Amino acid sequence: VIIEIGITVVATLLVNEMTDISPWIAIEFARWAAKRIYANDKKRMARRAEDWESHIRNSLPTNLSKLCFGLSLGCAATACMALRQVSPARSALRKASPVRPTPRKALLMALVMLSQGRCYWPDCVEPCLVTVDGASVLNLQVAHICAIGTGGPRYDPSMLDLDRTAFSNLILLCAAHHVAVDRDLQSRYSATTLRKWKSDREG
Amino acid sequence: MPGIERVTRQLLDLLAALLDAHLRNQEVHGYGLMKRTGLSGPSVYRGLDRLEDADLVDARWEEMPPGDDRPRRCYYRLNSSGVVIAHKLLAERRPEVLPRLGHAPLQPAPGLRMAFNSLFRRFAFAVGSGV
Repeated sequence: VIIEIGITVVATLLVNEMTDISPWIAIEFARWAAKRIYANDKKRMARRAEDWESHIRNSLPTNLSKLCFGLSLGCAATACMALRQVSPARSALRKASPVRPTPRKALLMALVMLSQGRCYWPDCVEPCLVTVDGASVLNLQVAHICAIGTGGPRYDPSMLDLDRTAFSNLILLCAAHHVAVDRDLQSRYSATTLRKWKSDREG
Repeated sequence: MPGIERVTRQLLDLLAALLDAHLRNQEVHGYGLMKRTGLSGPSVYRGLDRLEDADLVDARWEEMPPGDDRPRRCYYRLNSSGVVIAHKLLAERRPEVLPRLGHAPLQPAPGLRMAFNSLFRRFAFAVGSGV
C-alpha cells in the first residue's frame, strides 16, 4: 500500500512538472516553427513569432492546449520544410511567378472554339490557328477588354483581379489589331465596343 | 497585386470571420480567429499569409502600457479591397452565410469549452439584467 501511494505521489509530481514546463516547450516550438516557415521573410518571421507567443502567454487557457498549439505549429513547420525539400523548383517558380498571370489553357481553348476561327475584329480574316510543321499553333493574341495593369487601356479600377483574368474580359486579336486597340489610353475602342465584338462573335 | 489563387474551405471560413468582425467594427487577433472559425492555428495563419500576400488584410500591434512586458498581440482586419473580395467570394460560394454576418450572435465553434463560455455569458447577462 505504501509503495502504491508513493508511486501515485511521484507520478502526480512528474505530471505537474511536465505541465509547468509545457508553456516553455510550446513557446520554443512556436519560435522554431516561425523560423522554418518564414525562412524567406524575416519581417514576417519576427511578427508571427511574437504573435504566437502572445497566444501561448495570454490567450490559451490550459497548459495542455498551449502544448497542443506549439506542437501543431511544429508539425506545420516540418511539413513546410518537407515540401521545400521535395519541390525546391516548384517553390522557386511560385516565388518568381510573373506579375501578369497567363490565361489558363481551358480559357484559351474556349476562346479558340468560340472565335469562329478568326480575329475578333469585325471582318478581319486573320486565322485563329495556323499549321506549322503539321501542328496547330495559336496565331492570335489574347487581349484584355479592360487592362489587367493599373493605367492600361480601358483599365477599370472597380474591377476585381478575378474578373480581369476571367473569360468575359478576354478576346483574341491578331497582332495588328491588338496594337490598334491598345494604341493609346484614350482608346477609340471602348470596353463597350470590344464587349459588343465579343458577344457578336460568340453569339 | 496578385489575387487569391485558390479559394479553399478554410479560406472562406477565415474570410467569413474577418468580414463578421469588420461588420461589427472589431479587430480580431489570431486566437480570436481560431476560436471563431474552429480551425487550427497553422490553418488560420496559412490563410492569413495568403491574404496578406494578396494585400487584403492589414495587421496592427496591440498598444501596450509601458512597463508591461508580456508579448504583444497582433490584430488583423480586412482593408477596403479585402472587404470587397470577401463579400464577392462569400456571395458566390456561401450565400447562406452572408446575411447572418454581423447580426446573429457569434457562432461558437464546436467544443465543450465553447458551450460553457456561451452558457456563462447567458448567465452573466441574466444576472446583469436583473432576471
